[in-house]
Amino acid sequence: MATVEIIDNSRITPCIFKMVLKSGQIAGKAKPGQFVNLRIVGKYYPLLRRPMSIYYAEMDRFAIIYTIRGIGTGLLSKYKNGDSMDILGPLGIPFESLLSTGVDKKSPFREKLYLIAGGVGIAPLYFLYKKSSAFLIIGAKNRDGILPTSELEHVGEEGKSQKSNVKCQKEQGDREGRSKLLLAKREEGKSQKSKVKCQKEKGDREEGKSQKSNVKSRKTRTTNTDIQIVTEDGSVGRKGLVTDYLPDVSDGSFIVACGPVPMLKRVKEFYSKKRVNCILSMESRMGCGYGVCLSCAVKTIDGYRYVCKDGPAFRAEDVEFD
Amino acid sequence: MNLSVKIGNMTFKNPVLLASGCFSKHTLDFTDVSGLGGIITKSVTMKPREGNPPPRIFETPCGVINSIGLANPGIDEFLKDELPCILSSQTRVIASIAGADVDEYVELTRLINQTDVTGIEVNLSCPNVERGGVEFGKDPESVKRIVDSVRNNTSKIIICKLPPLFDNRKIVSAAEQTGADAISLINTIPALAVNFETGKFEIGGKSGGLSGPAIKPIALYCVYNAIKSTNLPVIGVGGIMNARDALEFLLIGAMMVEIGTGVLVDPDIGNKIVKGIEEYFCKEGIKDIAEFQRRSRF
Repeated sequence: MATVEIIDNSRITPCIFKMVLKSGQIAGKAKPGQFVNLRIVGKYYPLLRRPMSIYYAEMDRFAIIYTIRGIGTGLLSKYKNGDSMDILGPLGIPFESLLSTGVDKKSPFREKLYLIAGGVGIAPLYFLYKKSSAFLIIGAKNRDGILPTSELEHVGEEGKSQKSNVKCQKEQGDREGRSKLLLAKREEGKSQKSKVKCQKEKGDREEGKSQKSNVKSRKTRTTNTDIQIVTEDGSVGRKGLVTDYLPDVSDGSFIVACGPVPMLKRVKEFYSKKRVNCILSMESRMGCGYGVCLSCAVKTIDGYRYVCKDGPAFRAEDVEFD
Repeated sequence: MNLSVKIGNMTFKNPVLLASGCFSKHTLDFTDVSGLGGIITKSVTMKPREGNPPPRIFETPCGVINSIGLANPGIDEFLKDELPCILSSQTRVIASIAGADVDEYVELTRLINQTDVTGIEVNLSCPNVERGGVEFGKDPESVKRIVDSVRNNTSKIIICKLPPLFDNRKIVSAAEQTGADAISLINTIPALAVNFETGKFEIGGKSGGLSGPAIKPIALYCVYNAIKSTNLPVIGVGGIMNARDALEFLLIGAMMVEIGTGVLVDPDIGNKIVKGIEEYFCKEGIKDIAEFQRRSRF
């Protein structure tokens, strides 16, 4: 438990806020997949802490992102730079503990890592994306729910000698019906990147169709990273649901998904017949956040397990949806 | 200054306990409980219990509705894994037990009696299947039978945890006649939350129990009524979030207090409340709880 100073709390899109907090203690321990539990002061309403995925952590600071959903996040948006907040964390089990127990037990941040985010489910995946060589698909209702270009720039693989300078462009859909795709592009002069080629993209180009399908994607990994955007209204990136564009990956790939339950359910179904390691980062109403009250139950094949102490991430095959 | 209190033959260093349901070995990662009066473990049952379907918790203004359904690993696992860790925490430990019938209460008591716990809190908020699911704690006869049976199987102190009854004289009297050493109240208040947009209940098990600051005035009312009708020590529970709240319960005559929902919000709240009471007594020149209670005009 620590009292932590807020360095920045601002809107980064019309609906997404980013709060940067100063704590070497939390930032030093935080790993992708973990969360912090914030005590938002509003007398006794809200009363319980609010769990928030760690969006990134580096040096002496870490960040969260949120949208205003209710009274808690509404008050959270009012905090000013220099204010402080009582925070518990980092809590929960990092993604890496699940990623390193895959079938082939290779290093956690492997080449074949695909991250699928719905809405602010991007938060924990962004942290993992920053630390890995991953392909990231971000879905939202509209462009306001997509991280701005500024957040996606210069996000390469940490710790690599040739850190990739990534330029992001939110490409507007053009009149020819080309896919609206945001791709991270490698700077000139570096080894040419293999783009993700989707059958949908190909089909759109060739036939001008806008038919939705779960498309086959191929990706040759380089040291670069890729991002694909999907919005329900097509205001940026591809039009549809993120689950319309799930990559048809090869055996041994790792999928990590975070987003609304219907999305996670679809992700589980889609990958259930494939020989991939699919991990779902779950959300649940929490009481304590540290394993005492047993409020945040999720149903699994082993009975109820708890998002705060057994998760937030679970193997997709273990999770039972209603 | 002396904050110690006595229940049965046991002295507690101060009147602050962490309530059942809101404390487990995981709490010890976030706070040092050695400075507290004691802690009460989560209610344990004979067999493991999965608990109720989610969602199990819903926040209301200044309160929380929960419906955990006594999720616990069962007595065997509790004795093997949970209790040893808690017993090493240098404070008094009270084990909360929840039986499906009298026999289960007896068996739980026998097993726990062999451990180093200070006492047993008898959770009487379980449904009595033989009596159409009425909570044991609402039926004076059930309270007598259960607490008598527990008494016959342990010499450790026994605390009866009672539900929130506005007129609790009969129940309190039943507990007193059986040889209980103290009563604690109130347990959570039955509550419901619905969502008019989704058309669904907010809690998976439909209704739940309300706790938190919202229930403090009701808890004070029930505790006050209980104190008037018994000579047993009364432990006040319900919505205590700071030393001021705790002092209110002590002022009306409670011997001790339990902190529940407050621990979920702030695992270190118990120490803050002890410190707050100490500071107040120091400022006012009060030497012990009895002297503080003599100020009461009730």
